[in-house]
Amino acid sequence: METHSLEITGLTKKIGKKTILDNVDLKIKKGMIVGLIGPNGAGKTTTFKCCSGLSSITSGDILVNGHSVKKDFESAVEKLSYSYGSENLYPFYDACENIRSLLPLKVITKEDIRNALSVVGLEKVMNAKIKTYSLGMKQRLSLAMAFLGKPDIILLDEPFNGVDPQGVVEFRSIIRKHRDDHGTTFVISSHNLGEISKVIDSYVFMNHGHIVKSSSGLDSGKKVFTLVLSETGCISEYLEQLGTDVVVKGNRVTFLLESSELNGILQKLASENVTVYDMATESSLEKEYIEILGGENIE
Amino acid sequence: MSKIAKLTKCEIIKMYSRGAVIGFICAAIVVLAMYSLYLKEYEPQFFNSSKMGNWRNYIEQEANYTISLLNDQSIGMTENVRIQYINESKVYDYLLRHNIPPIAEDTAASMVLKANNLFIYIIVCIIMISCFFITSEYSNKTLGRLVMSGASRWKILTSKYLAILFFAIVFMLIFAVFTVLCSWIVFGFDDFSTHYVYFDGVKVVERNVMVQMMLNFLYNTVSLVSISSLAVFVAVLTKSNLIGMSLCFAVSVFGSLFSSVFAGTDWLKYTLFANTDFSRFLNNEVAFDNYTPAMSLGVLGIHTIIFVVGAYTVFCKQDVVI
Repeated sequence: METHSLEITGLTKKIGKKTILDNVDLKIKKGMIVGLIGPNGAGKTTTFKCCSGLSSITSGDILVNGHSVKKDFESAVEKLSYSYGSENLYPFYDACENIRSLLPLKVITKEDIRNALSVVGLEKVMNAKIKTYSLGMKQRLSLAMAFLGKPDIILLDEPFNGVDPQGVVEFRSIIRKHRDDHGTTFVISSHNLGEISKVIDSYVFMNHGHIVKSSSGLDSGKKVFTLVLSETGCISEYLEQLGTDVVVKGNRVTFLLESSELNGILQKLASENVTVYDMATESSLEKEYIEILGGENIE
Repeated sequence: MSKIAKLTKCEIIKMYSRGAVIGFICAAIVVLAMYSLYLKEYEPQFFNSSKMGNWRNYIEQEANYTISLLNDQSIGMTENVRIQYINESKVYDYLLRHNIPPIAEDTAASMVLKANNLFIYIIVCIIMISCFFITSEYSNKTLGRLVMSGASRWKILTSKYLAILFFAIVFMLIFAVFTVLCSWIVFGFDDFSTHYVYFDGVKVVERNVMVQMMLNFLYNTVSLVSISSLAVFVAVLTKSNLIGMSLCFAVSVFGSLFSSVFAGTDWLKYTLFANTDFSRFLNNEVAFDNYTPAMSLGVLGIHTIIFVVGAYTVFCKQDVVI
């Protein structure tokens, strides 16, 4: 029997007459890294808030590790961690004091804190006051706090905001390693589709408070390539032979492929004396985002 | 340790690690020292240690003067003032009959009794700290993290409420200890064996000075619990430090003044305004006829329950803004 870390059933959230979430159903398997994707106002943060008890639920229920957020709140959130940005720390405390004050019920040793801060690269500034931290450093501390207390499920809301490119790469590897080592389930919302696509196993598209589409798997290594060529005949046949979907419009060829396979395509084009005038790439997730949301609210 | 105990411990640590809280305690000591010096140097003293040798003479003169005022029909004395003079003469009579000297105004014993006038400082501090302690969780956006800590919201608010009450009581104790120390430093050592005699509205009461001071603090604690509850409620409701503090100050500081001005209005005694200073019952300064401590305690209790229930309802039901 499959175990689900998170089961959302018929979740509806209304504020006044406005419906923020409308009958949302979602099941997330244990140990998965799932991307929650959608434009502003889609309901991603509200979903997270309902899961963590920060927002009340109008109807429906959420089970975290089998415990109902509505009926058994304390057990439900005991092994759940929600990181919602960087501006939720005590500015006059240092990192350790923030962790102790904001996670008062977690059993955390000094060693745990040191390790968590070391993983996110904050060990050297652990005694500095938070008001001296940059946005990226606060984001790193938030991530470290999310890992403390050995949670079974971690909700990360825009974890890459304000983080430098090197940090984003580190974040991805930290998340994957944590999942691999501890079997933790991650649900990550982000507008940075390129970055999120590199870390998630599957995704859920949300818009206007609904789940628009969810996938059980993701071709995370694949990208959508668009080439503008002097001649398209030979290459489209070649790509079809590889089993790739190809769309040809005039002298423009669009296809989905592993980045590592591109070299072979370019060599084929060179051998056929086909000139490449232009080339563009996008992640498969970005393409899907645009297709599903019809280009609305692209961020 | 239960979740509430763990949360309360954490809240107390948080409270005492703030510079402002330590600042309020240090300022309280300075205020006490200055008040002691003021009483010694500038406050007019009608009966001081130099008159102690013939105190009976002094009391007899005061008693005779009071009786002459009461007998003088030409003075247009109001009923309240008349009753006050009658009560005073009962105290003088008691002192003379039991051979108890009055407390000289230039002694440490007098100072510890007058320190009750500084209770307003404690009220101001508690209001500021309570409001800030609650609203800063909203302004720092840290409330969300606390809500997710694994405890129900009512437990989180209870821990904050207990931390505030704990601080209020510790603050009062520190204040009491430093009242004694300052009085000793400024007025000289006193073993506080002196007895304080006053009319409590029904009978003349004789009590040790130290016991009277402790009772003053105990009665003030009753007011403090009510004011703290109001501060927590207003802070949770408004989430604004400024509005919360202004409202609480208005009720507690101007409340006494308001109730004195409208003392004739009987229904006013059922409002919070008229009951914020519970220690009035110790000093027979009650503004309403036939108003007993039990009645005042009941009014304060009902208000406190309303504030606490209101605070819990809002805190537990409202969505947390992040």
